[in-house]
Amino acid sequence: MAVVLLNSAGTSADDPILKGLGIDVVFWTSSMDVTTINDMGIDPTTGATITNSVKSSVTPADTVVTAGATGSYTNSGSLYTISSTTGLAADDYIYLSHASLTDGIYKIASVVDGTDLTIVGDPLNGSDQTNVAYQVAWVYITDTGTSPFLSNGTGDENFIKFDAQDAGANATDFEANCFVRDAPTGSSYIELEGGDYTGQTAGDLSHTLVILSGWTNNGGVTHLQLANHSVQTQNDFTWTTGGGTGEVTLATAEGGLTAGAGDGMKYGRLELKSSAGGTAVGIDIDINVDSSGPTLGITLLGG
Amino acid sequence: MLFYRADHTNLVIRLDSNEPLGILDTDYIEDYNGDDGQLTIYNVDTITDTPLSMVPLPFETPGIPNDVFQGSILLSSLPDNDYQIRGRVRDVIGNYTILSAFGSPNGNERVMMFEFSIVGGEFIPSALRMRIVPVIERGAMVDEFIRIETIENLTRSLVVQENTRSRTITDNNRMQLL
Repeated sequence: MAVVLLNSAGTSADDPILKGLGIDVVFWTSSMDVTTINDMGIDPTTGATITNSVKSSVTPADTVVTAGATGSYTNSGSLYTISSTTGLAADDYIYLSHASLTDGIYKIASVVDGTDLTIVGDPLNGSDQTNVAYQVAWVYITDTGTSPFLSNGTGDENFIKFDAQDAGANATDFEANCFVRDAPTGSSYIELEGGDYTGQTAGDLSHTLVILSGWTNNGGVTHLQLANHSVQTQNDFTWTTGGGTGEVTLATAEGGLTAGAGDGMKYGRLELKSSAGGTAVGIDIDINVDSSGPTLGITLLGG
Repeated sequence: MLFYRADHTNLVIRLDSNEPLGILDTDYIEDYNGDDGQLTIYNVDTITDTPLSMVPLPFETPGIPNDVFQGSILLSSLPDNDYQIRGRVRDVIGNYTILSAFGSPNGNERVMMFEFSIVGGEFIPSALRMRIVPVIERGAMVDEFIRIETIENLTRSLVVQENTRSRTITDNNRMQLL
């Protein structure tokens, strides 16, 4: 059984995927001979039986079976030519195999015409190629907080199942697993200035930030963005590295947060993503900035 | 700030903070020399220090710890002179405030001056001077406007309604006019 990874996360309960992150579950084949999909599903238990089928929700439709062994690549225009693009759209996936690239699944950037595609990253860029083996894959686009994905506080195991057959009715059941876990609490989730992400007081405007420090691959989080606090409807933070509030990589985000000038409560919201522009998991943060000593009053009384 | 000795036996000094104080070495207040649990009453004229032990008053602000403290000292130990209250406190995250002066400052503390003078006698408001200013109309009512002044330039106003024989006001120095 293989393991489904989201940015390297998902191998175990201690290296899980954070609940709620966007995920593309791609069903694909390297044999390039699939003619019929029997079923696809995401279940809480292992075994050939598929309880929670997602076959009707994949894109392209499970009935779009586009395979061949004689595709080609035209460097001018970066065009990948296959037998037919009917039923395909941008953001679908295709399995490619050729000596000039790493065999695997690639995302379709655009459908040019009835036979031509462009591919994200243009992996064959450089010269024309022939004999590009391919089979279009099928993707179930969701997030790990949505059924049929399950999660819990200790890391719930999900089984992703794929049952397909070739023209000779030779069927294969494939199963892979991944662990999805609810967000922990406090600093184990978002460590702001060395402590909890809410309710702290700090002595200056610059604050350290660590995301899911106890999870080996940060729960699959790769990008973050700042937004308004959901209750206070304001954001007082910018990224310490590079400034601004826009989407940045995890490494840049963990360069810390800088609060706006002045003492008092600072509010904001961190949006965690598994890819640039992806589905976000939002968490409100706040910190009280107190950078000056107490204000004192003295009263003299006769006794 | 003037403190009139009057017939008081003790001088009570109360310190109020706008936020809970943080612990220093062993207490929440340190005097000019860094000794915990007390402030320094510095006699500006004789250049002498008098320690004043400070104790917390937790019931002054229930739910907010370590923000009100009080100390008491015999007035007989403090001659009529000018004084500074000296020492240092910090908040819970380490921002310091110096009261007037501190012997070994970090250099980044906030400084607030606290000076007072002890004088003999008792504060007695001066004789009142009264004058009547022109009548002012307020709707259908006609009032007389009287200004009351003391030699300390304390000024209070009194509005006496027509046909009303008297009315009482009280100012911060507890003057009463009947």
